[in-house]
Amino acid sequence: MCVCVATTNAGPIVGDPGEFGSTVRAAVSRVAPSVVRIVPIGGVDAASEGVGSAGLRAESTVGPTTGLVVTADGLIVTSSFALLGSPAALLAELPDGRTLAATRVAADRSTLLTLLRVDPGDTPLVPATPARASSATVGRTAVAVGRAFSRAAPNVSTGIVSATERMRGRAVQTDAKISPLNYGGPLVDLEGGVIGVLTPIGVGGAGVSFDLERYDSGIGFAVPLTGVLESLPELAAGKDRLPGLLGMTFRGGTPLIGEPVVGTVRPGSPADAIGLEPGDVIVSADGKPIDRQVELLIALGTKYAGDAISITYRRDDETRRGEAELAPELVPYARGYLGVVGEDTRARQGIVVKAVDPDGPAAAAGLVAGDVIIGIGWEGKFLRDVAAMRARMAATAPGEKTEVQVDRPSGEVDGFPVILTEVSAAPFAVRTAETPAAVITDTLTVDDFEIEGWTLTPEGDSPVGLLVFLHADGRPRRDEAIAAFRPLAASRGVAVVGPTAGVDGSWKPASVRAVTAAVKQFREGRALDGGRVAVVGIGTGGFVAASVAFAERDLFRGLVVCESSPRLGVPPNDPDLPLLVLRSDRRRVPDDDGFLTALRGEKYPVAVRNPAAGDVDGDGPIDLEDLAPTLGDWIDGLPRL
Amino acid sequence: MKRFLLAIVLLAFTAASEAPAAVDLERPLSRAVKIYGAGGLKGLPAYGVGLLIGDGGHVVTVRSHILDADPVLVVLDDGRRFDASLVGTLDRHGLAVLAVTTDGVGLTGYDPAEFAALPPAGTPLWASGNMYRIAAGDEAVSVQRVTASYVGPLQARRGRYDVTLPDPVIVLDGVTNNPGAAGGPVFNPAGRPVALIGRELRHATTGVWVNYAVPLRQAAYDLERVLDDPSAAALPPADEPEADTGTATLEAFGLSLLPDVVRRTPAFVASVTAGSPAAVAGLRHDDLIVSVGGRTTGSVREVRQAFATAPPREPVVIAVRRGARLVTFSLERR
Repeated sequence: MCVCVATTNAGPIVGDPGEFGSTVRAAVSRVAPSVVRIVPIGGVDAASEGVGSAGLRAESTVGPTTGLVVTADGLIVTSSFALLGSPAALLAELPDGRTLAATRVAADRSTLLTLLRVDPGDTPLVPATPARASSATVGRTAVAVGRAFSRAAPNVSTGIVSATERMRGRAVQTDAKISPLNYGGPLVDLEGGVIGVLTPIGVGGAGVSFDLERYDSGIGFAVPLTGVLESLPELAAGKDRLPGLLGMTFRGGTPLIGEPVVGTVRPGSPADAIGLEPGDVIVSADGKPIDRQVELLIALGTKYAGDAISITYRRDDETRRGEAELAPELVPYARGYLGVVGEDTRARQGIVVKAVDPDGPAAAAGLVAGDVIIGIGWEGKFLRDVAAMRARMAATAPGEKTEVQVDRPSGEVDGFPVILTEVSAAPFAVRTAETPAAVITDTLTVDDFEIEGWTLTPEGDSPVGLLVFLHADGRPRRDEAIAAFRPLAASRGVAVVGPTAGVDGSWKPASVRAVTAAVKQFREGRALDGGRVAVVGIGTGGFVAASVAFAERDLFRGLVVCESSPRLGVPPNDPDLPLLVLRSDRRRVPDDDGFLTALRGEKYPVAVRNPAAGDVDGDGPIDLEDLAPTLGDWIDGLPRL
Repeated sequence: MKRFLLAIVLLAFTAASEAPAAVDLERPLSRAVKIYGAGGLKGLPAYGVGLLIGDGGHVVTVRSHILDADPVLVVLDDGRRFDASLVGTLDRHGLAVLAVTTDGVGLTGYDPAEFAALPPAGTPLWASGNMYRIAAGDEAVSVQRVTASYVGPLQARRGRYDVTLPDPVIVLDGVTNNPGAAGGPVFNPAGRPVALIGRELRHATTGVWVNYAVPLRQAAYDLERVLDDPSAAALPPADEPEADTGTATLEAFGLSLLPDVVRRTPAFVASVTAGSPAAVAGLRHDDLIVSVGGRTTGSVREVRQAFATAPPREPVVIAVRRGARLVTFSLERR
């Protein structure tokens, strides 16, 4: 400590603004020997080819990026972003002038970091030094270092630590500029100690993903180096680290304020092993109290598959405790199926059966339209609450035995034992409204997107179902499509939105965003009947339809693909967000169709509507006049139990 | 009365300076001028910034479509407005010089000798600009505190076209290259001009928007010459470089690669002609060419370019990845 006496006349005391610069440069030069340039050889150029979901989200090219040396014998950690384009090979360009071939050892799929190995020969590498814990304090200066421009000089960006334990506890947040130019590089303190490794980590959960849209908005993330070093032995042995999954969802509410009430439990999941059931309230996880949903998400965020978790929960007035090992993946989800389309009714406290799938178990047991389901039971215990019945149905598995109690139109109450089957996606007849509604035809324009089209909307302001229709290249004509779908809009209370592809009439990967924007815009103008929302695409429109349906899983309940077998990654089925798929072609659809096989693998209900017997192997384009009435029944049948 | 200020300063245990101190920018900013010109019709920003230089009413700015109008309007921080016309462009630097019609009003600017040297990466800088035309009338342009992120040559692209800036530029870590910021002077911690903000560009290989500035010091000599004799500036823009005629093809060395199907097809060797220089050197099917003549090559296209521009009459040195190793070969010319 020292005491200084300063004199001044007037004017501000201007320190040496250059001093900060020399401090930053000194810190950078201390870490620089550990910062290498990672160059991908070959691979997909996401900017020009836009493939898969990665290409649709990342409009940047995967070019040179950065890596951080963690051991002298050749282990380098980088952001998994470097491998996004599936390069044929990776090179590590070292600051000392050497270029070495790098091989992928393993990845941490929770923090989205990848471990690489190079053979440094007789000259060891310089491993990075972790910063002291106090450097990860909000407000402290932080410097992001990359080596993307050139091997000769690192690129530098300055900021502060903005937050700690972000992204479900996995990352430190900084306002230094983070971009593909420094992904994989270190975030250092002013002494050159490494706080963390920069990576575009997304919020994730079951679908841990990159979040590339934030890179120039002052929100960047670094995964703490200390944690990375702890996981090194496992990764270096070639074992990928996978996020630990519990296999349950919450009932309603948002993570931040929602009560931690169990919504659904996957059969066979760790949550099931713990003993959790819908309606249970989570009290604590590993001894830490849980008051809101987000607290459980944070507790899980830093855990990996194979880690144990202990959960205390409350059922009725009883507190219970259970323990399980978190799973690397959940068994593809298939729920049990009753085979009815029902509408909740408050007046009669149950679910009114609107239609019965003639091939489903309910029909076999004798249920008919007009019955009101007033209870669903397991082992003699009946659920009476409509929401509880629906939640329990979502958590059943095919083959499960249940008993359905119905209030019949005759006034009798009957009980039917039913063995649940797999959900059928096949269309069956659902009664239409008696008086057709007037339909308004309008032009579709979407703000900020080069997309237009048409809409058919039933008059009035009651909630409507929604069918998004995506045409094939150049067909059908607008008037043909409108004529085919008008009866559906009039008699089913379904709005039809028909976006048309941009300038040259064919869809592109970028169209997915435009169509999504069109749907969002339509929703702002008219309330939707959430259970009856589907998208249909013909030909190239089929790819866009599937992409939109998977991108907006919380909106779409049905996907129809015609004359197309989209090649895209199928996300796992989700118990809370049922999605039925219908494939309808003029030609017979081969049994080994790639898209349908992928969907069945993830346990999505899939139905194929093959050509009518007289029209087998017809060669022409699909007949909309023939398809549209079936779609009407199918959309009305989407909220099936 | 003379006042004494007693200050007790507790020195932190680390000598590290946690944030850059303030810099006095009043005089530097008074020499930044707003430029209004062409561009509005094409949906491009029709405004930018320049820096007063010399004492004869000259302005240096970056070369851009804004200057397609003649005259352009130059507005000072005190609201005074002048017409200005293009004197000439320094194509090598991407800069342009304007002469302000002063009608006898004296306008003092920076002597090019005052331009600061290239700052090393990590230096805090103050970047000015009239982004989104926020400074109207008698206002100075605005300033952002940024850091010199990288200093060196830049391969970039504008739209679909490759743009290579061979002379060093300064890449900044802030979002400086906004509409209206082009030409904005960037000042160093001493308040001296370092560079002018360039146009919007994407980095060639990562596709990231790059915020960069054109250093002034390298152009100081040329600028002084223009100030002395305006006819010294080269008005016509340089011709596009001629296409490479090529000094070597892969085939001449007996190499054939996988067909080039996508933009970044990896350069795997498909076959090697028996007895060819490639065969003599020891190349094999399935080797992956990763560098040619010391240049890293990420795709078939880059390998072909590198062969085409390799120095004539010398062996071509290439590196391939074979298994987990990098192996270097020298291909003799015939």
